[in-house]
Amino acid sequence: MADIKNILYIEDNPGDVRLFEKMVADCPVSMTLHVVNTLKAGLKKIRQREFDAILLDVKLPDSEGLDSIKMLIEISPYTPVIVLTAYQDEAFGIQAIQFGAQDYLMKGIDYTPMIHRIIQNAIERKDIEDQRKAAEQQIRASLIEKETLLKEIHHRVKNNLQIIMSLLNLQSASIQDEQVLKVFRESRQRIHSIALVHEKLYKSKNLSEIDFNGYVRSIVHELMRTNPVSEKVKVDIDIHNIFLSIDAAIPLGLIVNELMTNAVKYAFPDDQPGHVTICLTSLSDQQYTLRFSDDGVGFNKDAILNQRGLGLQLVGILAEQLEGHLQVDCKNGAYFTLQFPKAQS
Amino acid sequence: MQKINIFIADDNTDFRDRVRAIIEKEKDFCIVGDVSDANHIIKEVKDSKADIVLLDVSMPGMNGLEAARALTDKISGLKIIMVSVYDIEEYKEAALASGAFGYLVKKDIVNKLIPIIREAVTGL
Repeated sequence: MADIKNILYIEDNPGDVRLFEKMVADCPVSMTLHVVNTLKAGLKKIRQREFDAILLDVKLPDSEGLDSIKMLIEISPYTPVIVLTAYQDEAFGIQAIQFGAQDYLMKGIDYTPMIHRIIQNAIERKDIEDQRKAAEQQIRASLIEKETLLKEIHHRVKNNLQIIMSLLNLQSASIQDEQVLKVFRESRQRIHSIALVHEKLYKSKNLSEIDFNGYVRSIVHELMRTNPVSEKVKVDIDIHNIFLSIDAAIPLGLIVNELMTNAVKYAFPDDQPGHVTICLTSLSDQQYTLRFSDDGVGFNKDAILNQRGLGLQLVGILAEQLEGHLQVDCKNGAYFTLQFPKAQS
Repeated sequence: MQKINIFIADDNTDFRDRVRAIIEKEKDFCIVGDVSDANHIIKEVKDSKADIVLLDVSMPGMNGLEAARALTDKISGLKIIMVSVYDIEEYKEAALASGAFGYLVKKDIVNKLIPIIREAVTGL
């Protein structure tokens, strides 16, 4: 059986309705005509059910002209509207199309020859629109499913990293040697920095990028909590509205972790007061600049060159991973500047 | 045409690939080997008959400065260009003091790698 199309006809003149019914009597499209005589009644109907097309008389007792079209399109943007204008008012018909109507018919002339085609076009358009909506809904559902899976994966990665951290904790419980314990603590902190990225990602609305400001604050907070740092050491974090992908966030987070670890451990001996500044800026479309500085005792640049200390070695390796460019000054405190390119999409 | 033999010593695979892509465009240059650690670097460079070694400052096995000293001691005529992510003047000085011909910051490889190799080659 052919699909019966539902057409809403908003018309206050019963004579015009009768005439229309006569003209569509042998239309190849099977249709049910739902007639109402005011715009208000038409809008009520639209809220109750979906129509395949709307025929609109532009002179109604409660609304006129373009206002009626605007309201209909607002309420039902995907249902084609065919406007019925007065005889010799073709200009209005064209204006109606500019306002979103699909077509127009002029009253007073016999529009039988075109009515079938116009209704058929309107219905075909509605069918295409319905198919598009169905496809969109399917894509949306699939996207939600993928986001849920991705969140789940980030959650699991974070949990697995936490298990590794717990294993290191358990293993280090029997260790007495302070030097070996230090290695375990540093490894745990590094793993924690990576786990944080996954935690931030699954908690974020945007699963592909994290707010680097919040991430750095969490890393710094954890380091200050787990290391005996003087209360006189103040940390300023100046990062605004920078969101990084996981590929950039992990190496950059680890660099901050290493530099901050060095600062809290070595820069301020003997309860010395001090100041650490971490700043990430986006200077151009192509590049980010990370500035890390402390006004502590400084360090020997040869430590990097002679590969003393895993931390500074890691900074170099990670900077390279970001295809970055590192400048270091350590005469009065430590100053690291890392410039690296933004990922090209 | 006498080809210039180049050896790459760097633990970063991406960097080695980028260097390879730049060098392979030069018809008179030939990559004769690469390593990702410095453990057997002297033997490998010697066997490759390299003229030029691009040597990372920081590599597993031996630090770049020690490797530069050892290579220049053992293989006469070899030119070493040290490469690093660090743009630090003192490192450049330390590299030259260790016998390297030049020091190249990695971000500059696109523009400066070929010129510095050609400069090193003219002295061969």
